[in-house]
Amino acid sequence: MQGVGIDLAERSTYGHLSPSSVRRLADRWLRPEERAWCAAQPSFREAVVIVLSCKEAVYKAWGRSGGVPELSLAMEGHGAGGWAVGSDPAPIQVMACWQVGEASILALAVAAPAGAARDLLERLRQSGPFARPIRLFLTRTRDTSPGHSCGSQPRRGAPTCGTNIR
Amino acid sequence: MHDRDRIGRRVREVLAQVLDVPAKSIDQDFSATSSVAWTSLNHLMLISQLETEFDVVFSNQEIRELTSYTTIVDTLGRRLDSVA
Repeated sequence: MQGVGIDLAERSTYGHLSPSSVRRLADRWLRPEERAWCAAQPSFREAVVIVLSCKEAVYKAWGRSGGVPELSLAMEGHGAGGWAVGSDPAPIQVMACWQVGEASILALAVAAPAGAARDLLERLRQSGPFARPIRLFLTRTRDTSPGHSCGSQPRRGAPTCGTNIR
Repeated sequence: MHDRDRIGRRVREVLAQVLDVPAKSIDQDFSATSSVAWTSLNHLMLISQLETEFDVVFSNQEIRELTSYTTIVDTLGRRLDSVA
């Protein structure tokens, strides 16, 4: 396995955005097929955040964050949870899954050899933060770029996040 | 030469709107480091809002570097001067 990434988008940090702002966000950062998936979801706003959160988790699995979400994800599923599969054919495949909670959206991603990513992610999903009630905690330091780095190779000084099983 | 104060006022308005923080809390030291509201998601929102407001398109390098109020104002000042 190349890496694991996790991203948490708290509703309190995006709930205030106007519909036109969310539309602009989608037009700027999502690919047409991703926008089409968002348009078919019950909440366009939440769907846009899901896609971007999955992309951020994928970047963290690659050991990067705060980047420009250029990769394309094929979204599978809808509503409370599903899968996002990197559509670029490569020896290393990226894949994410997400779960919508009451106050946040949690995305978990892996970068792994093609063919193994889904199995690895499913195992992580069953044993990790999605599996039982958890309290996610975030710690921020004073030395970071936007977002928090929760990948397997966090940058020095970057905020970290993890799971605390209750 | 574009008026830096005027650019600064408009940037402050965009930051306040996107990050949902009081405009008066945005000073010269305001940055992704100092604001918990400046998440990775809101950073993308901020970039798209600034591009619309100032009619510019930032490069990938600029997008990664625009992580503080002063950097945004300086970058926009240069960009707007170059097209004036």
